[in-house]
Amino acid sequence: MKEIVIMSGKGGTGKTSFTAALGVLAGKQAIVADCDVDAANLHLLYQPEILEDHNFLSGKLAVIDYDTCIDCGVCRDKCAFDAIDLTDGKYVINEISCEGCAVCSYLCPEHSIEMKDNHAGKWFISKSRFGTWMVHAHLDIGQDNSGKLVSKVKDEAKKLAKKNEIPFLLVDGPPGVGCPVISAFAGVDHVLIITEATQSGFHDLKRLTELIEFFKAQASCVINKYDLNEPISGTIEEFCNGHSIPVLEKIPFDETFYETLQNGKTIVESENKNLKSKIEHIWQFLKNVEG
Amino acid sequence: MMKIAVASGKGGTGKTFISTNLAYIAADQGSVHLFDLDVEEPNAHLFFPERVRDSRAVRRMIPIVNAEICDHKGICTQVCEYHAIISLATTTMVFPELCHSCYGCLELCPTRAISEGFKEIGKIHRSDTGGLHLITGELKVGESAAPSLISETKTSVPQEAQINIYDAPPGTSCPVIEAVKDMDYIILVTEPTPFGLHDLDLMVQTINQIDRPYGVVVNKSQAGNNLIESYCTEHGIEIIARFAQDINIARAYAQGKIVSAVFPEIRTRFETLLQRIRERMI
Amino acid sequence: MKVAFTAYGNSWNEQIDIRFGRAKGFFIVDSETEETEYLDNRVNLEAQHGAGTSSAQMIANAGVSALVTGKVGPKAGSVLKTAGVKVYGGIGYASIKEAYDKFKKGLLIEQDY
Repeated sequence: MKEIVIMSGKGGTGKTSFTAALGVLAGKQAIVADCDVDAANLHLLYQPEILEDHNFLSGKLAVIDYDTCIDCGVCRDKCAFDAIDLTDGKYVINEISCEGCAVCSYLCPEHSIEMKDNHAGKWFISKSRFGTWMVHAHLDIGQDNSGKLVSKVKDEAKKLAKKNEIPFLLVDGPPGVGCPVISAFAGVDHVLIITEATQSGFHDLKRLTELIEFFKAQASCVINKYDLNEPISGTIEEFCNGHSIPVLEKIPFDETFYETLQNGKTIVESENKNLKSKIEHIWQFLKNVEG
Repeated sequence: MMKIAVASGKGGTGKTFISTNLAYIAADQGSVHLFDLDVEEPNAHLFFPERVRDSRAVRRMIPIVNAEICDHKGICTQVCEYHAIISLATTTMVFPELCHSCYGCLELCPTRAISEGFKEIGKIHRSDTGGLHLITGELKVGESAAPSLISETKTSVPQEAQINIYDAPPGTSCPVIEAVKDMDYIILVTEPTPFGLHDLDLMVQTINQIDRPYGVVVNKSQAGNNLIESYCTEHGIEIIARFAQDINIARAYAQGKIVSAVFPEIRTRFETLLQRIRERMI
Repeated sequence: MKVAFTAYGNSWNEQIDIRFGRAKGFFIVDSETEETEYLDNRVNLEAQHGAGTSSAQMIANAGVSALVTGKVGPKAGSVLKTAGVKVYGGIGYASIKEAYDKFKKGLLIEQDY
């Protein structure tokens, strides 16, 4: 099985749109993993049928046992996050503010506070309207991402691919260059970078390249909206050439790109043959990268 | 004085486009403070490249271990939920970026070897352009204490300005709630795609928890697309402005320009937006 | 001397897991006797934050002198350095057997943190 991860650094470069389109071209040859869990959007284009859903637990949450609580207020005095309120004579945990540090639980003289696993979201195995399998996740309101959910989604997608002998795993990577991105790097065969012709796009491309070189991973690059700022686009091309990262395509700022998305479709479903053939070219390249 | 926050469920919708242009045209009508609370990636300053007038550090508690008293039994490591204090055979190490300042190790150290220290979590910068004052919160890379820096940035200057505009961080987690909780009006910026709609819905669920007046700005709107309109009608939310998808605007913005300074018709639209917000607040 | 490898499982043929803090487990080889042991890392894999520092402590407490992995973050790196564990990283994809052979031949480059 070949694992290809699609990364961008900053948001808004079109990473998810490209991942979705490549997944459609790959069809039943690929499983798509949506590891962009902060902005998990792939399912909006795939409108998948959910086959399995699982709870995702992360971090802890304090829970007061009112049968033994003596209303002494030690917990509230010691809470550094102002997460315990006194409401109608009872001490109540504010679940949004509680950081799960467990200080209240350690200091409660009656041992009335227990730390419970925090429900942070859900993860799913689904089948898209094209028949492509996908693994994706959803974080609850107010929950933060960490490398943990990224690892989970990817590992589950891998298991599924192995079990069903599916030759490709396409991973929509998390944004940025931090811990979740490193989690997404584990075990990849090829990194496809989607960048855009802006200063911040180039800045993030450079940081991603450092990681790619460190992990000795193979990579290629697509410059989206290259005509927004052609001098920067040129600088990006030169940079990629200097780092043995082939620039597969330069995509112009295109109304149809956007219109297709507005209609909840992937860009290979658009009428724009030019755009479609560029994506097909990218997929042909990825299909033949060495594992 | 009025306080307006500009927020969006995800990055790349044009939140900073709205906040910088609104601040730019508002400065003609009175004194303006623009607060950049997108502390992990502040970028409003790219559009106002004036020299920073002053910067100050923001600090938070971290534990300090007194090596002479510490017996390296590792109780601190056991109680730290964040793995921010690591006890080895002959030394105990503290990792400020992981520490949430919960005071657990201080409270529970049996030898009382831990005392309060401080670490820098970020900086607050101030710069001026005529009637517009820009206040930027900048979190240190790898630091997790965004909510405390946001609240410090909001209160770092006396709020004597007539109009305060707050560029909120993207997303729906704690930092956003901290940024928008005490506003007179919240602008939710979105775009008419299924992505934009999905993230707008999450944002609406978040804002509904704090009960402040809000409206939606549709950025990159296109004639004939009613995705956001239908949602807003169904939920009784007002669309307070629309900005059309336009390559000339995108280009000017990508080059770091204030679009209202270049295109008079965009300027007029922002003036109308500000006027509408004033009316909604009475 | 004990050498630890971040691994996907308890076998010489398993791949090196390039994650450190969120590695599946640690495959440990005693280079004198070539006896092996395996530490499951599920606790840290499941941690919300600080998986790196906590894994580093686990490695240090296991009496390991050298660690072969993908990338160690700066915080975990400083725990390992303080505990006197040398780190060899950036080897790309290889089985534990291949990585161990390279290690013995002195072909891996020590990472400085």
